[in-house]
Amino acid sequence: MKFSMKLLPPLAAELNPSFGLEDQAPTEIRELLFVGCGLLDQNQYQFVVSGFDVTPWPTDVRYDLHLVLEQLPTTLSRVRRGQAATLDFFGQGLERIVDLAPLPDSMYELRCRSGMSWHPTFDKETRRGEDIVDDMEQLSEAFADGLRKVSPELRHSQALVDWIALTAAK
Amino acid sequence: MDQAWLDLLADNVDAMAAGHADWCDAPTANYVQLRCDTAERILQQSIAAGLVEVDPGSANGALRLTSCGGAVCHLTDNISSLLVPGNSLDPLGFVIGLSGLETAGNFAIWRSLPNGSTTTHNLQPGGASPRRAGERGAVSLPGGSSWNPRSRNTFGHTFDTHGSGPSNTRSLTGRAGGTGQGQGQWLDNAAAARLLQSASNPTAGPRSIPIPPGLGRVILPSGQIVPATHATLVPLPGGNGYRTAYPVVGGGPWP
Repeated sequence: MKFSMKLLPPLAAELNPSFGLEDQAPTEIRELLFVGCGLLDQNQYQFVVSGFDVTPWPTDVRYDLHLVLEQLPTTLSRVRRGQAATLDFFGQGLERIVDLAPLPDSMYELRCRSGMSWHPTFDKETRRGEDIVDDMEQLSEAFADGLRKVSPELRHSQALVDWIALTAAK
Repeated sequence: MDQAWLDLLADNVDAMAAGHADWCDAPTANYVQLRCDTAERILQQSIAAGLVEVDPGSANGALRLTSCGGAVCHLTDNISSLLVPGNSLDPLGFVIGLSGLETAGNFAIWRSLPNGSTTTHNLQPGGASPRRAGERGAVSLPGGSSWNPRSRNTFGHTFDTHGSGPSNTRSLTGRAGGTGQGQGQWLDNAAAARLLQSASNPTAGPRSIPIPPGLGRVILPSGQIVPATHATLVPLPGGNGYRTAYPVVGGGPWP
């Protein structure tokens, strides 16, 4: 199973749009990520990460998606430029790092390092750089799309507009 | 300026300094002339943050550094005085050198200076245009470390996810079961913030420190709660502050 990250909406449950953010509507992107991941978590969204022969990783929306999204703009920017990058799943109990190293022909080698006693069965994969970018862009879009559904108040917020611009920045 | 944009700016500037000048237009070994959307956005944010402004004396609308108003900002020709070890210049670990911010050619030259460097840096590596007063210097971006536990820029996920309170307790209990790993929780955010401030070391990596009794606890996968004896600290790379920090039982894998 190649390394991938997906944000999945709830299967059957009805969404429970959240109102009442007037006093705490995020104005900055980091706030948006924190508040947004909390709302998606309340609505049973799932952050599904797999790779290195482990499916799924023990990730959750409130904690791990939040910290991955914070790193996404920089990681995306680097991979788009063909540079080395990392994704650090530094949440307690997960504590693993995925290193992305460029190879010839727009390929990337992905290595997984663990900061715990757990170690992946296979610690190395190769993927096309554009596929990695596609995955990360889809994750960013899924977050924005989910927020629009679970929080009508955030649908037109400047912070969400900024998030979309930030992850689209080339 | 939004911290997320600062992060991207810092990474881009860092990439330039490391010689990754293979993107955007007209690269050289030492600098990049930014003409892409990212540069435009960065400049917009810099203007919005009051770091640069259009020079009213310029016929072609050149940009210049501002005096930064009341923000934490240094503007000086003698940048070496700012680049001494221990200077807390900004939460990113960078001094941003802005050189010849010109709109005449629709490009800007940016270069980073590593925090702690004692070398006098050439702020105009390309020598493309003469520097003018107000168009050179080193600027520390606003937003130095605040040790208030509510500061996400300083404490990252430390209190959002591992802070005191029943909401975090419920979340951490679920996560302990999901990951099969104990989850630490601070019992007094303010006291923990003071401890983390005293333990802050911009040059140190992840590590474990002992904590006083009663400051933290660990929720085990079984739901059992035990007192914490140490804390794992994951500092921000190159800056003052933390990506996260949480209580643990025992010293952990860090030295």
